[in-house]
Amino acid sequence: MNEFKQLFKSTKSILTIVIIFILSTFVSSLPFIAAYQGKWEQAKDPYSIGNELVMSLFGFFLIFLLSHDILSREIHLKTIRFLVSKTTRLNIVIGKYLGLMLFWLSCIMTTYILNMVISHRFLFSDALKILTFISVGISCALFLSMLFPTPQKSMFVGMLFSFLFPIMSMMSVLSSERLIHWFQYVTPYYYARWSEPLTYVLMNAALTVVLLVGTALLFQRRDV
Amino acid sequence: MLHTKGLTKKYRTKVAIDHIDLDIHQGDIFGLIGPKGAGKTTFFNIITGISRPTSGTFIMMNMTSLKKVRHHIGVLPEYSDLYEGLTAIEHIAYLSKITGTRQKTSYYEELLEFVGLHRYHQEKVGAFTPGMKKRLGMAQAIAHQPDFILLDEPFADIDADSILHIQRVIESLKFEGKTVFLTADESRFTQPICTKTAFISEGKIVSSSTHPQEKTITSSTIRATFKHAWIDDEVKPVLTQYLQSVGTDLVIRDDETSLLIRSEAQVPAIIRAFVKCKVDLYRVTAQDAMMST
Repeated sequence: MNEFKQLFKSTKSILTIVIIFILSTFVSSLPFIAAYQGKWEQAKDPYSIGNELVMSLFGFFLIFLLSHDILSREIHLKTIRFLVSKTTRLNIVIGKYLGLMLFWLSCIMTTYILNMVISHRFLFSDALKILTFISVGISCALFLSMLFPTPQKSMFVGMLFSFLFPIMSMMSVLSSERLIHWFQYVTPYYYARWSEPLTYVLMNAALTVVLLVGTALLFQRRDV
Repeated sequence: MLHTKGLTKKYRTKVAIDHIDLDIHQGDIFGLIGPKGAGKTTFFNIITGISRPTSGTFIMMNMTSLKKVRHHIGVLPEYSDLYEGLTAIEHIAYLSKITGTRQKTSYYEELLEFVGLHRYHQEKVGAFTPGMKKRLGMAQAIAHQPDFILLDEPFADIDADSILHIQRVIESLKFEGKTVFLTADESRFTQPICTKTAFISEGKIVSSSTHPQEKTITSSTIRATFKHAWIDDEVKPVLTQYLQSVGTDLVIRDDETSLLIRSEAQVPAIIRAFVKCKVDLYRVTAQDAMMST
């Protein structure tokens, strides 16, 4: 909850909403969106297509920009010792995850409500899909923040990851090269192509669980 | 309250604590005293679940799992920072919520008054002095009224006013029949409040628990004498501070230093301290102080 309050009280929340809203509105007005709108089964609303594209391209970057040091900062400052002495490490990881999810839930819902004002439609399933995508991003941020427990290292690795991961994921999905093709199964981008939204949500949930368990195991082994 | 058996923590090249056996009983105010790097914080971190031992076991409040005792213990870890963006009240409320023991704001205000921070309860923690931060850390440790309070270096690097406040808090915990375990570099601030003390050096307990009220540190029986070269003025204060923490009746001359120690096992650590300070040693003698007088 502390994470949510810290992020939400600052200008970061307004900036995040403004960035996503402006970019998605801009993307939705592009001519190719209108041309392909009918073919894209899930995204019948141009604003929703805009949101999905923006989050696919910049989602990881935004998540890491805001939360690359979510655990490493506390380990570095030793404030994590207060938490570790009061609750289990798994609870700490879950608490951090939920705090960040709550922040992104607020941002995404606000963006969809703003879109609704223009389009007069609220696409709940699309919002849910984006949130599960964000959930994977947050879990990655937590995992890397635990793997590199100084803010400088986690920032460098996090930023690099947020650029490379979407590129590699898209390449692995589009390429038939065996060397990179396997990578698609561990990215949310692959499951986004499936027509069944529930599969996408479930696969992202599974990726989230795997990453959170990995973070908790790393945390368990680490002296803080 | 706490029973440790053969607690050991090894890092790649260093043994931080080596087979530590300690017993702390209900109502004890137990001080673990030793110089910096002696292994106090490592021991503290293990018994509070911050780090894991390489070998050995410990039982706290008759339970082997820390999960079950977390709600009954209050911990003030060694730290450099608090959540600087929060106010003092928010800080205690946040940490209490994690323990699952959220109380009313008025209770936290009383608690802050208890540690002498009542005028600062709406101040951001970032503006606090180290002493105020330590007092706030103390307040969060006792906020959920635990039975066993563990404090790592509560008197380190803080002002005299904060030392007095913390001593007063520990005294009142003692009066309430709570058990307190604390660590310190030297016994100066702990001697008036502790009912039992153990001394740690180089990861080993060099003297078993003593009751300062009944048997003080001056009961040391061995006088160790070190004949050495000139001690550089730069290292003299460091060496003096170290020697004061491991022994009593310290006499430092230009070429000879002597002090009363509790055990011959302390001598190698003292020699290493001289070597670390780049002071050449020519002769070391250790003899029974009673016989020498």
